[in-house]
Amino acid sequence: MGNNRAIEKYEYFRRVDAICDLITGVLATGAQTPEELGEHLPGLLQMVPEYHASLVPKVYPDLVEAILKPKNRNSVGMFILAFKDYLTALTDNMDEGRPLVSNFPFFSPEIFFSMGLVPCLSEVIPFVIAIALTDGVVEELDESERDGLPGHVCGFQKVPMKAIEKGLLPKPDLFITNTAPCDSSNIMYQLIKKRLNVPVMMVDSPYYNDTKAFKYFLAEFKKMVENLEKATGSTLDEDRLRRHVEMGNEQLKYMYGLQELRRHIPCPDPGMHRVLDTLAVMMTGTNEKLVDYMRICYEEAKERVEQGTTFLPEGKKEIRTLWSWSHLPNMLSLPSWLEDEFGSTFLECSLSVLPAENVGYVDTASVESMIEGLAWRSFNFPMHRNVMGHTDIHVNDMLTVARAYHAQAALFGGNQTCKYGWTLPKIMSDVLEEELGIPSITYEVDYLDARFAPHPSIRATLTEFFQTLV
Amino acid sequence: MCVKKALRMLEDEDESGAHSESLKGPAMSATSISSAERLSAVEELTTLPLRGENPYIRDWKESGGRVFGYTCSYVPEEILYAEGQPSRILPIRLGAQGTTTTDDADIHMHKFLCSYCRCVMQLALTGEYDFLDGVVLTNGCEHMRRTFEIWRDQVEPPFVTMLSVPHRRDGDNHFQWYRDEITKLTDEIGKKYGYLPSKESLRSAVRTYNRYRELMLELYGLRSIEHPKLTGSEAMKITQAGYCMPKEAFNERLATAIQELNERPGITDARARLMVGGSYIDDPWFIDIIESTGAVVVTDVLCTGRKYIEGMVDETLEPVEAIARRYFQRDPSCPRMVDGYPERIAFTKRLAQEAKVDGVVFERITFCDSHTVENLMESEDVEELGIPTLNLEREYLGGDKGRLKTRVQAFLEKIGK
Repeated sequence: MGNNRAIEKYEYFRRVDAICDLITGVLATGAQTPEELGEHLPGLLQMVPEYHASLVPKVYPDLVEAILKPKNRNSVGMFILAFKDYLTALTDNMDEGRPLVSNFPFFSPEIFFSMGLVPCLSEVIPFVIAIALTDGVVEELDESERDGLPGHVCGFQKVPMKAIEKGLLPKPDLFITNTAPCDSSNIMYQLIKKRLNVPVMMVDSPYYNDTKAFKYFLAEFKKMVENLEKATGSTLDEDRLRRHVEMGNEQLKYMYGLQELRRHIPCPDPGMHRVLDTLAVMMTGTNEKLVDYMRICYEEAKERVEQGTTFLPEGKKEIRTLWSWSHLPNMLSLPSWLEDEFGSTFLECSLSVLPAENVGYVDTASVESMIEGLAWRSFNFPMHRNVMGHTDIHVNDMLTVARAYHAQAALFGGNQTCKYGWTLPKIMSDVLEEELGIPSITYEVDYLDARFAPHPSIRATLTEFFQTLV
Repeated sequence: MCVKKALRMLEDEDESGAHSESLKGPAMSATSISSAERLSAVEELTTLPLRGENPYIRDWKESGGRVFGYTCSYVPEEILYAEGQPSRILPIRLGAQGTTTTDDADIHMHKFLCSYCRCVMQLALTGEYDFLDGVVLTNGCEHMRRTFEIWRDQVEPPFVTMLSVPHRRDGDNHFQWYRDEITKLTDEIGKKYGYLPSKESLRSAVRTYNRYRELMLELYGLRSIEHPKLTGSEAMKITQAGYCMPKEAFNERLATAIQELNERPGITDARARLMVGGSYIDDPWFIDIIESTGAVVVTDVLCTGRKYIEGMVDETLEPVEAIARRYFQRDPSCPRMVDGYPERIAFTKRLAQEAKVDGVVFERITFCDSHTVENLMESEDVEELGIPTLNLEREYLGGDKGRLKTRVQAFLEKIGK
């Protein structure tokens, strides 16, 4: 097959595959510090392919340091295996010549699996590259800008479009998305349709989060399933759907359990997992290893609670921290650093909060109940429930979390491109201060472009904030 | 008449305070509509004071009418305007012309949000919109939908509501959602003010608004002819007047203005004929910059201009249904509508060709995602016709004029004008 295999043909796949292998290899050395890893590195570099070795200098050193820590290594290791499995299944699917459908993250992947398709998470692949590599996806961001798309247009659509144009990602047969969460996404998918000449199926997301809105969304969701069957020639297989839905339910069971455990003082669940949880939620029901990832996170946290231990450095007083907007994908090490430096634990953010009472489980009784349940879940997942309506939903969710988890501080690290978020800092900080006496800080970031807010500047800003609290 | 003369006339008006000061309204603030009638219709419509100093708004309020503000062209004005009990509602489109700062708005709205929204909010926070009895906002874009909460919680107007608009129009369910939102709007107003429009009052409003659209199209016709009878700047001011007057009164004045314009000599020395498209414009400063180069803006594809008047309400249908259909399903749509690009670009191309433009200036307000990308798409497609385009970024507040003028001049030179 040579380089006709999708995993080798498309640079972004190859890069993510190599990142997965490198992290797995690093963890397999058993090293727990960069110094220990240094002893193993020459041997490791000899064992990996040349391409993999060429990426090593680009990997964020602080990311490696964080991954090696005992509090993070098991869960990160399992997540990487899950992602590798997903990528392998996706590229195998392509090699078999099956239709390639690119779907919006947070949009139920189980439907695709039930039709024998493996969805290509075109927006997530760049996310993973930006997490790991210092040069991330900046080349594609810069080229997009040269094409007339400025920095404030969201990179999650700009980068995949440019990567597809350059042949770094495959051109799908179909894009599926919804009209949440933002203008950037809605207009960029119109450009993607025009530039790439690929059909885009858009499920309309209503404004508001009430019964009427869900009825509307459900009708749209059902229409999407019908249209997907027509467009791909694949039919929904009930058993296959049930298998993936059950996997998703199992994954969410641990997720809900973790949310409960994070209420415990001290928080037993390391913050780096919030970013991985987001990715896991985007891929709910994809494979068994994602269930294992959530289970490991849950079991480790449970054990800490039962044994009265903490992952915080000895003697470090906890500052229970709510990330009132989101985490920062291009700086995966940040939560771990904040834990070690200031005892700041990461309770929840808008992309991780998934109240069980709002989302629940998908009823596997019938195809109808599963479709309705998946629609309900997509409707209530992050970047839908808390976005498609007044800011009150987001503010109330965060206030509820802050109260229930006993938050003591809040970080609003707003993504510059998320325009709908930029009336929230003042509202959020006022509400948290007035209701619970919680201080907040607002700072600006770009999820995919670390140059917008360099890591040292973020550390300096947050150091100043936490030093006022300790 | 030459374009520079037309602009000089406006500058003279500026010097007399009638236009630039009209934003605060001293020229008209102590006057009434009857004294305004001493002006020619064109003069009156191009110098009408805005907001609370507008004599039509004052008279409306003094006679017991209520005034509602809205921002988005998906708000069905006829529904608000239709005569109800105990009083009629005058819908006015909220602008922020002449705003020089967003100091207060910026406390609540970050710099990543559109400066038009921040300017409108600035006026609301500083009391310039206190005369409003209600505000109807939409989820038209991220910036505007987030204006809602700030307006609701910080300004606390007597009435504020959101009319949500789907992003697709190709299904019955999409239309029904919008139709239901109109019902919700009328119910809410009914509860607050006892507003109950009859079918006949709705039909009357439809006829008035359709007449308005006919007249506005006639006005646009006077711009796109070989020797335009008015500048783009004048046209924008007249359009703005239409947003802030009862439509019956505006129609009457506009009909007269059209007669006056027809009697004018046309502009014969335009350096170039241009079309403008892109983000929200209601303040003529941007058009003035373009026309200060000697070019004339002969048509536009703005939601505050030509797009706003496109499409009649079907007078043979049940009125609410007909109004809803016109507003929701009209083409060209807003770029927020994910299924409307083919019709939008067809419209832009048609207007550009009909008006025989030498070029198209696409402008976007900084951080406006919808028009940033839409402009790029339309620009590519318009250029395929052999019509050159210029893409400009600007703020709503009238700054950066030197750079913008230089860009326009360079564009004209590039296209050999």
